[in-house]
Amino acid sequence: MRTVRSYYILTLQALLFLVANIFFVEAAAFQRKAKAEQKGVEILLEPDNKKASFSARKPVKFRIGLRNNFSSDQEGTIIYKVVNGKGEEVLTSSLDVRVNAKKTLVSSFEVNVDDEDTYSLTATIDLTEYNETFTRGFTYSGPPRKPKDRRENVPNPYIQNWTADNVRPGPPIAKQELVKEAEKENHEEATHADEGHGDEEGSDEEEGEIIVKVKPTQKDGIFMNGNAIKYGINIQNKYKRKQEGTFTLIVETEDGKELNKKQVKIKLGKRGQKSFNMTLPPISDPGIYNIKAALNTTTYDDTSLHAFGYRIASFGTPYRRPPDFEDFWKATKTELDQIDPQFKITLDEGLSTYFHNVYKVEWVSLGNINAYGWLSIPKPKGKYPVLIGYGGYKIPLNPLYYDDYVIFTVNVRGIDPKVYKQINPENKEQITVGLEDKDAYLYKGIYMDCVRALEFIHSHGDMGFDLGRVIAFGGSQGATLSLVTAALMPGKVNAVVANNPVFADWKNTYSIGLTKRELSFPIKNLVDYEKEHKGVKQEHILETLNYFDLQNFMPGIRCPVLYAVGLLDPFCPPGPQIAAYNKMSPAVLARSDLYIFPKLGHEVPESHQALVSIWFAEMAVKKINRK
Amino acid sequence: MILKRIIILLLAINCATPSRADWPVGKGRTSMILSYGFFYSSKYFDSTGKVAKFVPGDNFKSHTIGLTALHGITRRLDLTVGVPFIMQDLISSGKRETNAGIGDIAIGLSYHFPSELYKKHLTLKAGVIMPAYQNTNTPYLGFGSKGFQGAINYSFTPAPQSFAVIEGTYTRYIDFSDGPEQIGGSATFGKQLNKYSMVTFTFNHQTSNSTNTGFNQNVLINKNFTSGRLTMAYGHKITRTITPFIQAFYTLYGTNMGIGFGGNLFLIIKLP
Repeated sequence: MRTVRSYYILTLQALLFLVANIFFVEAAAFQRKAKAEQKGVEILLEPDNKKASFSARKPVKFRIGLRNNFSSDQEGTIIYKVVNGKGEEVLTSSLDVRVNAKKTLVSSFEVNVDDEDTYSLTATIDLTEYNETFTRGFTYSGPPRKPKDRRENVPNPYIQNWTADNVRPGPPIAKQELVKEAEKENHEEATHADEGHGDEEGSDEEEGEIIVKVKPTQKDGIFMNGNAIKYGINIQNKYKRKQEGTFTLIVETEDGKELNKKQVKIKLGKRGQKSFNMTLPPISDPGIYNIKAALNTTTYDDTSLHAFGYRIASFGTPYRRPPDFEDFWKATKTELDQIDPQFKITLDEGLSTYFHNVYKVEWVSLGNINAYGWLSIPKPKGKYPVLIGYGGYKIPLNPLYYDDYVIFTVNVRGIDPKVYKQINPENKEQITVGLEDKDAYLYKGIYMDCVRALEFIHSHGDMGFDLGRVIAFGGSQGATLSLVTAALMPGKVNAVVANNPVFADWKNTYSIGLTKRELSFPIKNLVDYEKEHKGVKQEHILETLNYFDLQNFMPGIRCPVLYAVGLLDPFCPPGPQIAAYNKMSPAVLARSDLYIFPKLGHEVPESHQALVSIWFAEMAVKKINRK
Repeated sequence: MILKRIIILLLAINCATPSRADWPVGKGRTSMILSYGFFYSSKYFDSTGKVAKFVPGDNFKSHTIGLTALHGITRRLDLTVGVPFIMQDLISSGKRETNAGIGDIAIGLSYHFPSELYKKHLTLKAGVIMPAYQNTNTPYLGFGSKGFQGAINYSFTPAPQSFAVIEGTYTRYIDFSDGPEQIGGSATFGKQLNKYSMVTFTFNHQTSNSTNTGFNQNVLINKNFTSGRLTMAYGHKITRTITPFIQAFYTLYGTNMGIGFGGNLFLIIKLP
């Protein structure tokens, strides 16, 4: 309940308004009206549930309405963070929003929390001429009770993007619902103030929404040459009133250039639904394309973002490989060779179990900087295939316990806080440390930490490692590190599992990232760096980053790769990821597998994780004689 | 017959790691199962299902050494080959007879349909049975007939750290007009005790139909019978690739079926 209360203290004006309500309930309507008139944008934000009580069967969902009273368009972002009952921030996300002049946008968004708790959601709405912060409370009653209630593939909040009014032609349409909602909100404010608690029972609002499902006819969202680009659409009207309007699919390139669009008129009865297919105009060039699916009806506007690939096997981007790329890395490895690794292996009894021995392995790497990893070895005798796992951006890895494999989880420099201070005394964003000099760039050392970890495995076969079967894996930055290591150590890795690799094709990642309304990692960090370092331009940054660009390493990979890409990945656009994959040699591509997930962002589904374990086993079949 | 039951169970046990009951072997992977089985019978269920004893002093014993190989041809398709070597010792009406040799060789394919999360599998099996012997000396090593077998099973995880397999089988021996034709069903539940140890319980019912309704103390050659058998097994992984299992079984009910107890030792070797 604490969180429900907190949004009343947003501004002094709101506080005064609240006090006024406590003593002068009868005058509240007048004051609310006055308040609304003062606002350029009227905003409604509330849980999609009267009691603000959610569960797995009722996922956390908030409704939001924005009425733009200005005579100019308002665009910007909604950044929201969710804090649990212990005061810990559990989620931060953002949404792009645009409301045309004198128009209204009504939509909803889901908030993905997992644990039973009481939460507060603080949303900062920052528009062209208006900003305000709201706090709302809600409770989540935990995981599903029945298997059928478990939801999979929870949409990534990053994918939501509202620009509905951009595609609605014609004059503004009055949105009675929003007015009604706003009045109800104010009524509730008064009620809360009177009663002093957050119970929202007694509301007589009309509940409803329109659910839009957009599915490519190709399950993986990839259309081949000759395939019609076709989507199955299902629209369900949950309102108790008829809906009439349009549904529009707008096709854009990854960097936001509109290619074409297709619009249909729709009519929905009370609580009715409609299913139909839409075939998009043909596309000529291979690549990844975004789709904005915009629904504009009598009382509802919503736009969701989707993506598909077309002829991706033919999709390529130019190399930006410096001429001395090979020499640079050859020299770097020579430099590493000259440093005594001083491997230190310590049994950690606290982390060891009845079934596994766990060792902390420390070593000295490039620049005499330390890195470490956790080595987990099953106790039954035998030579075990080795899985070497690399971690995501600044994420420490713990030991993993597999029965059929030795697992070595690698923590590169900077994961250890002491080393972090040594390599980054000014506490800059890791990705920008040494950014203007390829020899000083932090990732030169990080890549060598990964190489050294692999060297450790290959120099300690007597610990029960089957050195003929070594597989690297990782997700996000870990995927990139796995691939780079395999390229820098050809012949030392049997296979690589790479989920959602980042840092692929920096040039294009930069170009695409800059078209987003809200910059996200890693482009945001690079842009911030440019701002902080006058005179440093994108070209200077790319001069360094091209030496560390994943795509430039891909031709050097000699082993099969299991590669997964989410088409809505906000951190590394799918186009650069797929273009990097295509840069492997034809022989390697023939033995590799690419999996595409059209509805996911920087993640893979549970089913893919299951496939990974099967793939590990398959790749561990063939022994490579490395003697 | 005993051997076939053993093989079916082995197919379940072979992959008996948590939630992996009767899963695909894995593309390119092979599992070898070495087994030794002993069966002893001095009583039987008569044609009405009542327990009857052999003539005092009579009994039937068999020792079976088996080698079964499972190989993953693709991610979903497995090849299974089973070769048994049988040694029989029959004392009937005070007369002792022994025989030994390779029994029925079973060759089959299994095709798996996994669920989206690979936690459940529907498996179709088809195979042939080829006798590697001729019934010239008694006690016979089997029906001496070629046959084919089809099976369907569903494997799933009914509870954490456990698995279950429900299977139905149909077998038809084709060389003789009296078959037999056999229909069977089994349910297996496996529970992991810890990372390396597990127990399994299997109940199996089989009905064999034939115009030849005679009963022989040599349980391998009865053609018209029913039986219900309970089997318990315990396995413990001793190295990365080797897991020995010990198994005991008992015939609970039946008609025209020898009552016996027996045991099997299996050595499951995963390659690589």
